[in-house]
Amino acid sequence: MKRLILACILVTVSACASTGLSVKQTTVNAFQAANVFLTNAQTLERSYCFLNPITEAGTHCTNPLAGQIKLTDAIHVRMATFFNDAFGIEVAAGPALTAWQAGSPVPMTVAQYLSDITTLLSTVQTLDPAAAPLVSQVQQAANSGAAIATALGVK
Amino acid sequence: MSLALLALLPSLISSGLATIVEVKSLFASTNPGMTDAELDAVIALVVSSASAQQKLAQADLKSNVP
Repeated sequence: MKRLILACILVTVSACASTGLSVKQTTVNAFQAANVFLTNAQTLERSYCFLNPITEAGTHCTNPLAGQIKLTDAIHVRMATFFNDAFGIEVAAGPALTAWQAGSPVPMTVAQYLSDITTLLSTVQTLDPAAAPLVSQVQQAANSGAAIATALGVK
Repeated sequence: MSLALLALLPSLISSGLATIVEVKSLFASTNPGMTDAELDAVIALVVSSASAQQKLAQADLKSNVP
């Protein structure tokens, strides 16, 4: 609930302040928001999967909660693959965004990013309703990806 | 950014409601006058965070079955 309140504050402030921002700043805002939501989603997914997500890692989930919400090892691996790709795209996009000047060609493969994030969204939606917070974070990451596409004029 | 919101940030951080990245995001989204250098600093922060998260994902792709 507290996080929801904070999210509402962030969304409200962002909406109020978005008018008049440069294209680059709008893009960076969305880029950063996507990172926050992806990080939150990965943290949630790993907390469902591992009894101790700080010290554990791997393809096999050790938390009994994983079975209860239908988070199988196969789905966990698919999500880890996605997170590896998604964060890899962000790392690769960083230098391109830094060098990018408004009006120049779009520096990142936004379409692929959106496709990947939509795939993740459809995957997490197969989980039990108890995983709703995870679905919410991925949905917001997808929304941020869409905002990037809009800001860059590719959608 | 309003003074009221600024005053709220320390309590948000100390209560664990906001991560540093989220606070940075708040600053970026509420400061319409950010320079390219400031934006580049934000990008560097995001890339650093993404790199750390990617390492976690890669660790999850290695078998942990004895």
